[in-house]
Amino acid sequence: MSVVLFYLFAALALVSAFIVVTTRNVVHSAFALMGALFCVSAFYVFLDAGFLAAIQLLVYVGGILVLVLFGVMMTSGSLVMKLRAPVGQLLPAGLVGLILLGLLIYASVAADPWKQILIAEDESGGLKAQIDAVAAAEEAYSGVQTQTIHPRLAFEFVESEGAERDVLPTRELSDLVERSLTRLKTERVYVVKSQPSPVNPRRHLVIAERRVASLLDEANSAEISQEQADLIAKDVAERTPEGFDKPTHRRPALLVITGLKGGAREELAERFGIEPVSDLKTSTGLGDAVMMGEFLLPFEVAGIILLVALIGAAVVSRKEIEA
Amino acid sequence: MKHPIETAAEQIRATAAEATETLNLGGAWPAGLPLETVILLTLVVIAVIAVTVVAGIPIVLVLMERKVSAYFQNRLGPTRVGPWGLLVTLADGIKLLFKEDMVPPSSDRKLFRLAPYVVFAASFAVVAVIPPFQSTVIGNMDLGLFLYLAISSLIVLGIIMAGWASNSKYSLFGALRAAAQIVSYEIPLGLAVLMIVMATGTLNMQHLVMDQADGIHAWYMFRHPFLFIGAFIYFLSAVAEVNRTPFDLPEAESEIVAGYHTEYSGIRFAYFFLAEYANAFIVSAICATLFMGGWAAPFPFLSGVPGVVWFLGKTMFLVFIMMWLRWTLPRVRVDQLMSLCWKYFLPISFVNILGAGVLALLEREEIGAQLGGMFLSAEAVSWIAFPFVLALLGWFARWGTEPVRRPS
Amino acid sequence: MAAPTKALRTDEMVLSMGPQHPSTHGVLRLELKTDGEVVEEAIPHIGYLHRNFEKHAESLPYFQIIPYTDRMDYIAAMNNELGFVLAVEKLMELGGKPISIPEKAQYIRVVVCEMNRIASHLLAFGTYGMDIGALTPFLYAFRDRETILGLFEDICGARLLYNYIRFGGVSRDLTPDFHHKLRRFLSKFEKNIDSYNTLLTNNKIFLERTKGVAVMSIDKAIQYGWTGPNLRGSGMKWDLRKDEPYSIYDRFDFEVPVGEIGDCWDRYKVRMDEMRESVRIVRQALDQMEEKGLLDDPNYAAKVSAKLRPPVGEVYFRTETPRGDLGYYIQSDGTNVPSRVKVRSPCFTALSAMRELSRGLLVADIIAIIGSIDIVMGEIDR
Repeated sequence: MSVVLFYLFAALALVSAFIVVTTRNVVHSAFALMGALFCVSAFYVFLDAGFLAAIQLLVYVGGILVLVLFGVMMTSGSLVMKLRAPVGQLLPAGLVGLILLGLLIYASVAADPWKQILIAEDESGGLKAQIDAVAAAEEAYSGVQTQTIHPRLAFEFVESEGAERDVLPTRELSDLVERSLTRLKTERVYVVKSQPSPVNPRRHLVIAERRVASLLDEANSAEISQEQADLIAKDVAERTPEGFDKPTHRRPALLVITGLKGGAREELAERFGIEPVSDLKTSTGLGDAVMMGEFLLPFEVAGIILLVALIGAAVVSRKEIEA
Repeated sequence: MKHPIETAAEQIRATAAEATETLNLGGAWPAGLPLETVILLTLVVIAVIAVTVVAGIPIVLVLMERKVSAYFQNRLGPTRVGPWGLLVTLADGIKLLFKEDMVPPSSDRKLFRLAPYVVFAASFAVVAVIPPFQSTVIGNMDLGLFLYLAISSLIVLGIIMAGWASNSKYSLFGALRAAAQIVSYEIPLGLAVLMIVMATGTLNMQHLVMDQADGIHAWYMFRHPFLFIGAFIYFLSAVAEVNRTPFDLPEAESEIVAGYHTEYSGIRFAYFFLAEYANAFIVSAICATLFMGGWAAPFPFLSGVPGVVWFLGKTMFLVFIMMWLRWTLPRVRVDQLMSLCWKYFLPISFVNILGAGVLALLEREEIGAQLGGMFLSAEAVSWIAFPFVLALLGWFARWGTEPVRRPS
Repeated sequence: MAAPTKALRTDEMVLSMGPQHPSTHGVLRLELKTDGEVVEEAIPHIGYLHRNFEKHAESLPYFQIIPYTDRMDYIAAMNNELGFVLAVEKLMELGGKPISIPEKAQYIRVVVCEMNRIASHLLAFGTYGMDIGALTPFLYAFRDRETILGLFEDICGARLLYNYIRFGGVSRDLTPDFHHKLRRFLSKFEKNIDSYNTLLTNNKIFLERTKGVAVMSIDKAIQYGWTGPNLRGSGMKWDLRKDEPYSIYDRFDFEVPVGEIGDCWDRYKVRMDEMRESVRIVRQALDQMEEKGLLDDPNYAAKVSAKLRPPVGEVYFRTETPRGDLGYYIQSDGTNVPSRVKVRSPCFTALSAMRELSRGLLVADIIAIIGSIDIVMGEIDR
């Protein structure tokens, strides 16, 4: 389904981009740009970069495009004005276009495919499970480059004393996890399955993604024992409101109980009259992490190119009014 | 962990298979359906239901507006169609549906036709982020709050499109006013929302509501004075965002006829009209969710009442306040509108952000005041200081505006 | 200011506001030259409601002119009738054939005129609220106006164009319960004025919109020939009822409210205060009628021939209508048809200042100005 949607949006983006450069009506061009930018934001959603998608909408479509439209409407004045680029501009424009096209082709064909990303959450609790997950994933998807995206998180697990214990998180460990997760702004980790793209074998397309937990279900399917449940219960009961250092977690209503499986969470919640929260997600997706981390520079460069293009559009429309 | 939709789809598939088997239709084919298809069908059904429900909201609101305005003005309002005039909006809708589809000959036809759909789609898409009750699916989006800000910024494009494509001076006036107004007021609105995000660290609306679920004292509105002020700034900015009196300049009837939809009639006008009321509902719903606890009951002993009742109650209360404002206040002028935003709301919002940030920090570090063996948290202290600071500010304000004698 | 350079020069947009526009109070067309929201010039174009009153009047017997006067300022028809009737009566008097008007008719004329003044100012108040963007005052105003129109309907059968005041008196006697109904209305209405002031007059947004907007100094107001509430709004204490008392206005005790600086709010406030004074006048008139036992007096009109022929001569007579000095110049050649009728319209002079008042203001202010000078196109175009 998402593949169909992807191609739909891709086609739409191409069509609107084509209209942007070919139409003679400057306002039509601006509104077609809206379509193109909107489709780009849809691509970000497919890349699981929801934050970036929203930024794209907010900044480019809602902000900059409105400004551009303002400028165009204020200066052009009439509906019938036709845009015609002077011949002298064709050469530099064509050159810049070719260079950009070359860059794009190079980026998609020649450059390394983006590293595919795996790992690591504590849903099953403990370092062992995490390491198991990595191993399982690497085994399952051998040939795919894998990498833990949050080495700091893994590092802290290894370093901490709690790392020596396994399966059931103690209070310290789960607190540690919680704190790390909070600091890193992620509690959501994926196993990404990819396969070579049919168009370009060197480029991998994401075809499926799963939360790590479901993968671990097979490896770590032992039921939680009564003892363990009691231990956790005691742990929960000790969590007085003062015992928490993060404002949002003061209230037991929002308590995140990590490391529990299946019905145990609900069972505990019922026993203590707590609202069960299935899982707290945070606001950054995988794509955002990639985009904001490794590819920040290209992203900024792309932003500057867009800005220059927008200014150029304004200049072109202004030029016409004086003529 | 499986996504709830996945689980639901599996259940639906199983139930369908069971049903066809008991009816002797042969239960094999539903069971053989790929899960993706079942999920797709489920989503489509959910979407259809959602759109139907959401499209019903403006219809209710239009009736409500007519009745409320009537009672504000010593009238009865609609009484003829249906009992107590209940069906009058439906009748209106049918009328609009059957009207001739007029497109002014000198307009830009393509954009003129497209514009209502942009406005309509953008304002209805926002509904997806609102949590009307506790649920792991509905309104449970990581980026819900941010998505609201992003998508609602698309509305202004539709309005500009309509105003420009109409090729009418009144429409252009309306569109430019709308654009300037919406873009400006988005800033204090966003800053008010940012305060909450700063304090909680999440953009998920469900989680925001859960954090307020303890009762009325846990509502963000009453957490500390900065959020209290922020709630008012949010609401007023939202009123300006949705172009309602006293900020209804983009469609100021007495000045620019009907603003950006002057040239529209029939069903295209109806789209603008519905979008307008949907917007009023949406900003009220978000205000209720962010500042007034959403679906959570105000008192714990009332938590037996379904969440959707609280949600609708709070939202309708805010919608009613909007109507109250509309039928009481005159309209501000365009320069006053801008100065209200840039000279008052924006500085106040910045102070709010600063204050909320400091308080969030103090709360996290558990810094407060000891008062006779009682520990007062930073928030409590700020509440105690609030009236004094206000009084001081008021005194300063008066001191500043003492009549100055100017040589005539 | 230095002449803007060519690069900075922006095109001005000509916006034709009206003749079909929600807040031009009839069929006024304003040609606005705007630079964005700023109006560089507003040029009023009139004549869309021209019905040739003066020429009509020159071809009709005096009696038949009265209904035509109704149709000039249709918001305050009684006042228009009174002006014309008084002018003709003055003409008779000048020619030595005075009509003796019964005492009761004098009082009825004052009562209906002041009621109509209230109704007219209520409309000004309500529509002004609507111009500024508040819709509710309009319906409140119409609730009270409705009562007045109902009373008019009782006494003359018409609600807008009355044809009630005639030469020598009025066309019909008051209904027996008229003064009870009227007193009930007045006591209710006085309280309502307070609530209107709370709702609109002292509303912060309303003050922001109207205070200091389109200030008209006394000198300039006089130069433009402004009269009535508009002139008084600028601070000039000039009211024909006080300064040139006609009919029996010298028998009543009332104030002439004036404004301070002559902005939109002052002009509006004068009307609000005038309603209170009108209530006082009507009360006193009713009291005096009761004291003199006029309520049961059947003599409400003098007998005047339908073929009224004023002696040869001319007269100019002006009265204070809700909009200002309404003057009638009538020339009689001794027949039953006047040879010349000319009307001096207060709205026309008020509108003539539009161009000056609106320079450099915003589009929204234009609406505020039109509402504050309270024009009726029927009277301007005639």
